[in-house]
Parts: sequence; C-alpha cells; structure tokens
Amino acid sequence: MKKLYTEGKYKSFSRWKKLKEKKRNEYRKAYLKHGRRNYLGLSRQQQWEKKARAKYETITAPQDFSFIKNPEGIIEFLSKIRATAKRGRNVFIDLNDIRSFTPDTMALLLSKIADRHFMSGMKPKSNAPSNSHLAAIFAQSGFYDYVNSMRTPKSKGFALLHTKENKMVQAEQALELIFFATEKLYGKPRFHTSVQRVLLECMMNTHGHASRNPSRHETWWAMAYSDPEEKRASFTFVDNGIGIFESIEIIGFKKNFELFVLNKDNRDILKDILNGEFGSRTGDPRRGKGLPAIYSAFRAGKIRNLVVVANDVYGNIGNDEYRILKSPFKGTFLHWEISNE
Amino acid sequence: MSDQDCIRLSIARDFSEIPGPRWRIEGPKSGEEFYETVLLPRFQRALESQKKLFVDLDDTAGYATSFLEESFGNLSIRYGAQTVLNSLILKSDDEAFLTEEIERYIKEAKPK
Repeated sequence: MKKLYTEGKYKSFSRWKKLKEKKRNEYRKAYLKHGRRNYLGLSRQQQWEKKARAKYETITAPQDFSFIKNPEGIIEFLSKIRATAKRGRNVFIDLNDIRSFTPDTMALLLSKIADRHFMSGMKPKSNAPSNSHLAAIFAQSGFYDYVNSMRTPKSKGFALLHTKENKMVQAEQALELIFFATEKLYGKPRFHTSVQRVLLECMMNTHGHASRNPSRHETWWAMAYSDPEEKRASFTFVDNGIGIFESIEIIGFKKNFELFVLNKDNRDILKDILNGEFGSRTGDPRRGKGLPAIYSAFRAGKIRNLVVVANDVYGNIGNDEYRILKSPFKGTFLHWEISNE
Repeated sequence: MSDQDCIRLSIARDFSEIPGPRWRIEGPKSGEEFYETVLLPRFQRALESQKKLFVDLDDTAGYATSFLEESFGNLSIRYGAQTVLNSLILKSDDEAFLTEEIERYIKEAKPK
C-alpha cells in the first residue's frame, strides 16, 4: 500500500515534482504539435502520402497509362523507377493522375516491380488512382502485393483480370487464363485453341531464349482481362529477358543475312520472323515457329489487335504499324484480343 | 474406319487434354513425353499388326507447334517420312489445319 507523504518537506517536494511534470507534458505537447504542423487539416491517407513523398522520390505515372498506345511514355516511366531504385533511393509511385488505362500495362508494371533486379531489392510505395474503377483494377491485379500502401483500394465485386507468372511452360496456367476470360465473355469457360497456342509459344520463347545463360530462365507474366460490358477479352504476355532481337540465334541471323548489307533494321526482321523467314534462313526447321504461328492465328482472325514490342521495335500488327522506339524496351511484350462476335 | 483396320489414339483421352511444350525440361505433358509414352508404342503396335494408327487431335485445349513437331517429327526421323505418312490417319475437326501442319513436320523432319 502506498504511503501518503503529507508532512511538510514531502508536500513541497510533491508540489515541485507535479509542476515539473506539468511543464514536461506541456513541452511534449508543444513539441508534437510543432512536428504535426505540416499535416494539420490532412486526412490520415494524405498525411501518409506526404510523409512518404518526403522520404521517397516520387515517380509520377503518365496520364495515358497504356503501353500499347503510349509505349514511349511507359518506357520512360519504368526507366525512371529503375534509375531511382538503382541509385539506392526509395521510390514512391504516384498513380493519382492516371486518366486513361489499358490492362496490358498492368502486366508490364507487375513484371517490373516484382523483379528484384529491376527494383534493386527495394519495395516501392504507391498510392491509388483517383478513379475508383482504375483503383479497383489495380487492387485486383495483385499490384499491392509488391508495393507498400497505406490502404489497399477495394476491388469490385467481380474480378476483371487474372494474372499468372512462372519460369516453366505451364499449359494448365494458360488454360486457367483462358477459362477466366471465356467465362466472362461467353458465360461459361471453354477452350480457345488459338489463344492456348499463342500462350504456349510465348512461354516457350521465354524459357528457351529470353536469357543469355542457358541454365537460367526468365520469369514470364501473363494476364487475361475481360470486361463483359466491352464484349472482348485481352491477353498480355511479358518477360524481362533480352528481347527477340538480342537472342543468340537472331544475332547470328542478322550477321549472316543480307539485311545487314542493305542497312535495314529490326522492323524488317520482325516482319520476316512473323512470316516464317527466320527458320529457313538459319537452316534449322525446328527454330522460328513460335511467332509465325502467332501471326497465323492473327491472319486467320482467331486473335485481333496483335501488338509485339521487343528491344527497339514496336509492332502493332493489327494496324500494320511498325516503328523504332526512341528508348529501347528491355524484354518481350505481346498483347492480343478475342471477342465474342 | 473400324478397329480391325486401325489402332486408335486420342491425345485428349490417352495422354492429356492440356498438351504442353516440346521437351520435358520445359514443362509437363511435353511432346517428348507424348512421343515416348504414347505415340511411339502405339505406332509400333500398328506397324507390327499391319494396321494404321488413327490419331484424334480433337478435344484438347490446343497445341504448341513444338509439341507436334517434336512428337510426329521424331516418329518421321525414326521410321522415315513415307512410312509414317502411309501408316498414319489424322483427324482434327476442331482445327482442320493441324493435319496439314503435322504432315509438313513429318516431311521436314531431320535428325538433330
């Protein structure tokens, strides 16, 4: 039981002690208030963002957040993230100002920020797009598994996209993506043999050619997106390998091929590869079947709006648009669509 | 064609509804595995009994070119393109172009 010190000297001591404690508390309140002065009037989310931006270097996502429509903008955005992380600085990815978006960019962004080499082992912070529909898409994609965020946005009641990643050729995972997309599109899951073939060819290309080291294999990312209201589904496949044009077979092919003499570029090589010229040029009929098979599916109308981006080439096969990118893209990217028409 | 005239093989039923890549090291249900475990034994049985091998390509999720090239191409390397073409009947209602594609792989197959 505590003894109450009520006699003379103890009373003055207690009074002094109380005064000291009061001064200490007031000082502490003033100190904390001073520290909070920059955050007065802000919501908790806003306070979190402001603190994050102070310690992190902010990289703002382009308003046109679409790799198939704005490849240079997205490449520049990703390059800034890479450069900042490489310098050892923490990255804050600002998604607030995104106005237009295509789902292909999601797969690309995920493949980069999940790559420890790309992010130099750092985990970035991020906010959510101000548009609630886009915020839900980001939440469904698994993006917030790879970034720190104060509050993960709520996803919609039904999923719009499905993502897979692996190093091996996984036909079952390809089928899962197709079932996800076709269920949304047709009302029930069903095979789509052309998309299955395209996905398998992409996985095999990554497994066999994306890495210079034959004993190492790059990770591929594949995403299916389907919005029943749009009546179409899109598929995106991406890897962070060396790209189609830097694979060993292509380098040898370029050296031997007369295009080098005629000073043509990778756009022409891409067209030749799509048309199946590559296999015949190297003399190995087993090689070079993947992209021609994908192109055949496109020409047969089984897939639409095919886009291929690798190294310094952007090929929008659907629009017959081939151009050299201002900044090279590290890896290989393919995107295509199917519809229920 | 009756069972007296041919030996039947359905890839979906006898191997997998979800065929995979070219080689085993790439992933499961490869063309290499299909060739060694299903296609080659059935083809050998067909040859021994002087029947044709009827291969049903339907009801699968879809084929990679390398899967078909590895399996039927190896058959051609082993027995010769003409023998294989004479002994094989291919059925593909889902994707009619597959029969032509496989015949091309058989004709173009070369030892590695």
